[in-house]
Amino acid sequence: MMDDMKAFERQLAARLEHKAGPRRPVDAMAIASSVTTEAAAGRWALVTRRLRGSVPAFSSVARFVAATVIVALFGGFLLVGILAEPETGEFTPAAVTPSPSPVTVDGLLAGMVTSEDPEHGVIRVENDGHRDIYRESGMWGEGDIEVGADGSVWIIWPEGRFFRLGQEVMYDLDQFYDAEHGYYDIDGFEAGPDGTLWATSGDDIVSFDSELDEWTPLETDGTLVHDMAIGVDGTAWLMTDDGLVRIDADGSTLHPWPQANDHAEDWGSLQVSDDGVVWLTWAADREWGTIVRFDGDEWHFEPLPSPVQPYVEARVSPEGTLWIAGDEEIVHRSLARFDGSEWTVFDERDGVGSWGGKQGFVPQESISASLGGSVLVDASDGEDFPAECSGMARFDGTAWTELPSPVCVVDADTGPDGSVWVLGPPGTLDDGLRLTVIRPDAAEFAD
Amino acid sequence: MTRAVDRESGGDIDLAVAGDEVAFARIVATHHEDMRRVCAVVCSDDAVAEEAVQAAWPIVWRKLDSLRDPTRLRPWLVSVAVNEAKQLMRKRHRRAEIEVVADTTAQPGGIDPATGIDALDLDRALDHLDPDDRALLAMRYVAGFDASELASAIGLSPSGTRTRLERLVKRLRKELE
Repeated sequence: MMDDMKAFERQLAARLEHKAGPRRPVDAMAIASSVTTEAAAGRWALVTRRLRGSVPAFSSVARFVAATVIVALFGGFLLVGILAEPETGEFTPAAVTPSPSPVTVDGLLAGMVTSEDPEHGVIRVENDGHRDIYRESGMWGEGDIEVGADGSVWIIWPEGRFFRLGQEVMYDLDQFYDAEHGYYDIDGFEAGPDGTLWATSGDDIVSFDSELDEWTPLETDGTLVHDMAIGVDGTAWLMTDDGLVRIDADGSTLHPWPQANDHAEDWGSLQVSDDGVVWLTWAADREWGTIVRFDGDEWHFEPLPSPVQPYVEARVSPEGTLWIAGDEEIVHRSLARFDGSEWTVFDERDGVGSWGGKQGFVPQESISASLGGSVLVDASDGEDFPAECSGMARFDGTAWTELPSPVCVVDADTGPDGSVWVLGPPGTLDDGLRLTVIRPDAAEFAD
Repeated sequence: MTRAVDRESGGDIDLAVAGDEVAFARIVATHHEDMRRVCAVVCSDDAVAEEAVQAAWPIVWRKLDSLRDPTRLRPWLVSVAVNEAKQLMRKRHRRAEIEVVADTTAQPGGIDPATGIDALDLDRALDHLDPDDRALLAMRYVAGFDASELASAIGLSPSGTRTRLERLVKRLRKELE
C-alpha cells in the first residue's frame, strides 16, 4: 500500500509538472523596470504616504502597561470567578488585559471610516449598513465568519486580524504570530453568546470581550486544544489531548476521554446543541469513525455511516440535528443526517455530487445547519456554482434550493434568528482587496 | 538549496526595499517561474497564469517591506501570485467571460504501469479540485515546498499542512481506483 502511494505520488508529481509546463526564460530586468516605473507614478503610493502620517501610534506601550495593571487589578467579570475558585481541570485565566493591538478607526473620509495599519495597509469600513473592507494583497487564505448566539458577527482573517460588525475597531492577534516560521498559528475561533470571541492556538486559548474591550488568556498547562465550541449559555467546551474540558462561570472541569486516546492524529470537530449536548467527530475513520455525544454525564457512541467517512465537515443545528458532508471521494460526496436516533444518507440520487452524469451539488468546505431540518451547504454544482466559486444551497432532505449570492462563498454561518451570513472572497478593487459580508433575509432563503 | 536561495534573496530584499531596481530584478529572476508554474496548475491556463504573476509583482514591490521574515520570501511570493490567479478566475467567472476553454496545459494520456491509473483520468480529477487544493499540490510537487514553506503559504501549522496534503493525495488516489 505504501509503495502504491509512493508510485501514485510520483505519477501525480509528473502530471503536475506537465501541467506547469517547462521553465521559460524571464526578462527580469524588464519586469522590474516596469513595476518600479509604474509604482513611481502610481496613485496608491501617494495615498498611502498621506494616510500614514495621520495615523495614531499603533499602541502606546505606556498606556498599554498601565491599563494592563489597572484591569488586572480589578479584573473582568467572567474569568475572575474561575480564577478565584477553580474546581477541577487545567484551565485558569492568566490575567485580564486590554484587548491586543486595537487598530482604532481614525477618521472619516467621504463617508467612509478609514484607518491604516502599517503592517497590513489601508482598511476601509463603509457606513451604509454593510462593510466593505479593503486590505493589501499578499496573504493567501481567506476569512472566517462567526455569528454568536447574541447575533454578533465577527470577521476573522487568516493573518490574525478580527473585526466585529458594528464596532469600527479592528484587532489583531500578534501574540499568536510565529516569528520563527512566519505565520499566524491560530487553530480556530468561536463566537460566544455575550459579545465574546474565543481563539485557540496550540496550547493557548484566549477570550476577547468586545463590550469590555478585554482580553483574557487561559493557562492550559501545555494541553493542546484541538477544537472549541460555545453553548448558548456561554459554556465553553474544548477538545484537548486529555479530554473534554468544560469552562463556565464556576471554573473548568476536565472530562477524560472514555477510551484510549489512540486517535491523536485525527482530531475532528466539536459542536454543541442548544440543549447542552456536546457532539464530537473525528477526522479519520478507524475505530473513531464515530459520532460521540456527551450529555454532561454520559458518553454516547454512534458509528458514522460509511458514505461519509471521512467527512468534510459536521454541523449540529440548535435543535440537535447533525449533518455531515462526506469526503470519501472527490466528486462523489454525500450528506448524512442524524436526528438523534437514526441516520439518513443522501447521495447522487438526491442531487448530492455526481460523476459522469448530471452534476449535482458538491459540498465544499462549509456547511451550516440551523434552518429547522434543512442543511445549508457551501456547494458547487459545476454550472452556476463552479468549484472555484461555490454558492450557498439549501437541502431539506428532499429538494435543493439555490441561494443566489453576488459573491463566491468563502465561509458562512447562521444567526440565532435563522439568518444566514455569507463571507465573500477578497476581490480585487483598485489597489486593495475586498471582503464582502452579505446577510440575506431568512425568509428569502426559506423559499 | 532553498536556504541558500533565501539567504541570497534576504540581501536583495533589503536592497529592493531601499529602491534598488537591480536587486528587485534578481528576485524576479529567481522566483518568477516558480510563481508562474504554480499558477498554471491552479488555473490550467498559461495566459491567466502569466497575467497573475505580472499582477503580483507590483504588489510585491509595494509590500516587500512588510515581509517580516526574509526566509519566507518564496512562499510569500507564490501566495501573492496564487491569490491573484484566483481573483482572475473569479473575475472571469463573474463577468461570464469564461467559455469552455480547453486546458492549455493538457498533455497526452497513458496508463502508468506502476499505478494502473490513466494520466487523463488523473488530469480530470485534478481539474475537479478546488483551486486551493490544486495550489497546495503545485506548491508541494512543482515548486518543491517543504512543510514549513507550505505552512507559511497557506497559514496553517506545519503539522496541519502535512495532514491536509496527505488527506488530499489519499482522496485523489481513492477517487481514481
